[in-house]
Amino acid sequence: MSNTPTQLTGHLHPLTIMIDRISSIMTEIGFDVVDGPELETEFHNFDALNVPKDHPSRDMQDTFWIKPRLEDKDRLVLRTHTSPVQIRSMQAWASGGYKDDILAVVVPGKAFRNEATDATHEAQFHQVEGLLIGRDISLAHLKGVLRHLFTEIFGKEIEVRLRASFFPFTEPSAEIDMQCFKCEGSGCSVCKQSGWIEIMGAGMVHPNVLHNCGVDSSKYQGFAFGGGIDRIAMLKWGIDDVRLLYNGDLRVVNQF
Amino acid sequence: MKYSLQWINEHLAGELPEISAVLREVTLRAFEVEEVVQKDADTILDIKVLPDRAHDALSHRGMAREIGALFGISRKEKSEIVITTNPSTPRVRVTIENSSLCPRYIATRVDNVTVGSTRVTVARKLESVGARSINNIVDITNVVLFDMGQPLHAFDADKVVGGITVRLAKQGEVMTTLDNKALTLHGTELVIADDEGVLALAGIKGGKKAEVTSSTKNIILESANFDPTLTRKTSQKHNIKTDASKRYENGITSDFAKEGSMQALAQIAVDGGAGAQIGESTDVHTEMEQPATVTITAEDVNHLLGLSLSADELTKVLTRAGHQFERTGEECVVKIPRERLDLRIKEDMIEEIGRHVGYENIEAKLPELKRKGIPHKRLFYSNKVRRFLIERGFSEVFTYSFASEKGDGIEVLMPVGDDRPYLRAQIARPSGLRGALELNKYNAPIIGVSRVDIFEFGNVFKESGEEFHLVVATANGGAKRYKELVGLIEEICQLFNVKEVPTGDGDMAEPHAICEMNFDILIKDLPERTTYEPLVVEEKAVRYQTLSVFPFIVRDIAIFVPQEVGEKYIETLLRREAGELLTRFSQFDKFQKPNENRISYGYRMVFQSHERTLTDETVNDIMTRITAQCNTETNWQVR
Repeated sequence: MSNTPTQLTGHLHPLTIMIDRISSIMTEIGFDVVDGPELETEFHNFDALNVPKDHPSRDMQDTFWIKPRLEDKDRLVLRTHTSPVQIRSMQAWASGGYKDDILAVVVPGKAFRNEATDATHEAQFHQVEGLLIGRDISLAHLKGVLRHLFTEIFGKEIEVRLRASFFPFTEPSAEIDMQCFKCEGSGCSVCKQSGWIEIMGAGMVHPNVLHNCGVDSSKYQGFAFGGGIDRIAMLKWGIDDVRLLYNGDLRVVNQF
Repeated sequence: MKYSLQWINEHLAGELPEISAVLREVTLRAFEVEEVVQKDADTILDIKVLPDRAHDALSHRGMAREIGALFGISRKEKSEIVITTNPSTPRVRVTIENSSLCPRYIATRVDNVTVGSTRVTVARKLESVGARSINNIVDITNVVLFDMGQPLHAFDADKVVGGITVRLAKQGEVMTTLDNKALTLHGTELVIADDEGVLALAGIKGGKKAEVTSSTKNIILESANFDPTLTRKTSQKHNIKTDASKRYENGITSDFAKEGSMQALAQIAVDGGAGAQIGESTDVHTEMEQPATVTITAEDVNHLLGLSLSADELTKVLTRAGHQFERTGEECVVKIPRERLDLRIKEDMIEEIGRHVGYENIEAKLPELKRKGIPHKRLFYSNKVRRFLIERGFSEVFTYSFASEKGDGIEVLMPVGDDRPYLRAQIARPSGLRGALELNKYNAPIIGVSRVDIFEFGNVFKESGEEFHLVVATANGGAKRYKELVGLIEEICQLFNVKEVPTGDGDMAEPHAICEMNFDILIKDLPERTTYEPLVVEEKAVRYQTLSVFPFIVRDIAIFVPQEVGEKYIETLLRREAGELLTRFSQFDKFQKPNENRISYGYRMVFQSHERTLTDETVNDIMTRITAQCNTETNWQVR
């Protein structure tokens, strides 16, 4: 029960608060926050990311393709993840002469998937992508960065674990689980008694992806990760329906 | 796929540890285990195999090899199969029209089989993994499929006219599948045909024409390899997904075809009836796969994974994982098993080693980048405006990028809803923002606001490209509020010393006031920033309250109270009497007439339940109780 009288100040949207937190944490350790178009080319959203031509994720039922217009040179798509910004960042970095020998970016942004909406699925959502490329970047750094990120977001020591997985754009690929912030690993309703919460996909950028961006894969390597900001926010604050984040409902926003 | 633990054990020379250890290792190092069910003496594991491992692990033998490797348990290799063929059984004529779509096709005729029921143990085995026993011949093909991953098909040889041709379908050609579905083919599908017509949809589904039935005497056993992409496209086009198509569409080695055929024939010799006579196989194998090797050093592994393996440790891991390799100094040349189509480049092999070493053994390391990151311009400046708007009482919303209004006509091919096929060209235009204004206007009492002021930042889609917009809006604003909003936009411009106000897409939008601007124009000439300034300096502890789906009821109460009574006392009393249904409570009025020793207070109380719709009676009762209680206080008077 709230006691606030007619409030004098407005409220930030919880997604903004989460994006702000992520941006603070990541810029602090040296990552630039970058953005890119939401309406993407098939090249940036799929081809450059080593997604096979006939991969199911390119199907109409999973992806919002744009009705072709006369002037369009490429097939356009509402980006299905924030990964195309990875591609744009790497292209710019490689063509600009590999400034500082390091590329460290984080991309919070909107993405779209054509799926039936319910309490945990939305046709539009926010994702955060992280990318670190250099001469000696390894999976150990991925673990270090994600542990730092989750520890800072949840305000307590959070372990991460990597589970073997598969994505076309990374090799090796892993699912990232974070230790449950609620029970700290002993098992509760939030983590379905497992002590771990599946939170992101990640891995070492596939040499084909580096190559597609003009990055010399014999000299440079690095990691990428991507996960849902909506989901992290919902977990952290216990928001039970993702749709409430997109209908402009101040009953939700004004709690923040 | 469903795996029987007993079946997996048939392929292992040693004993697996207890199930919980198996599950843990498989989950972390190989695959996601979706379900574990105890079935009699067996344990059935539902394991999700992703496309990169569908080549080898969609079978009990493949899974056993993987799990065995995780625990260092060696495989149980089957003894070499010897088949006694009968020279009087004719060979099958096989023609492949396009070898890239069918790299291998093996056909073997078996005469004089007895089609009947299957052995109970075989039927149980199939049922344990969710398959159905059909007859001894078909069951043999299915057991081989689940055992080693090669799909097989049996035709009734007497219903096959002439020889077998693997070709593209003719447009309009028809076939009836085994499950009696009539298909009209488009001409893009690969089919197995005899000299007359279509026998099967290659790698997907058999046809009725040459179905093996209880009266079948002679059969043709097919063991083949088909193109993954075409299999997937055809399977999708006709909406037929089978155990065979699932395997072909991800690709399997053509070596499996020979092995699968041999295994099935050996079993037919045992279970296909006493008089079964196996003929010579016709094996058309035009597209041979090159054996793959990957050269790797411990340094390669360490550099990508952040481990510190020695060359000796690397060879140990490779050995335990069941790989054959030759080591020369630091280098290991790994001979990739024929079914592991996922292992082709160094990075693939590094993942293989990483999984077996265990990612948990990689020590987390925070990179020292020796610099601070910078935000992009839109984020930096929009945060400044967010701060400004919040101070002015505006709250932030996010609405949908999809619109029913045509905007600039950028249209989605398969929209979320037929009513919203377009991309918004303005934030204000889709009904989302107006919907938010209406919703919040209605909910204002329970939100506890007297007016609804909102803003949104977001991308819009114009003919000329994407733009980043800001919209500010007030519910029930009208012309007066609209002017205020325009003033607000002007103030925002002044924040950045931008003299010329970018043309806002103003909108009176009666009854609401909405004002939108292209934020990109505003910040165009502003400098890039070199540091990130956090928007939220100190995070509020939020304990999110779920929303009730039931309507709320608002009641106001006005009371005279002696001036010496504290507000806290009044509020405590009112809240206590109102009880748990009181969801929001606020003072909206307080006045004292000159020379009077009592004060008039006005309170607004909002009632709502999480379980039910409140009736007026319920709330009236509460208000009566509150009034009665107030009136017992000395000199209080409810007005």
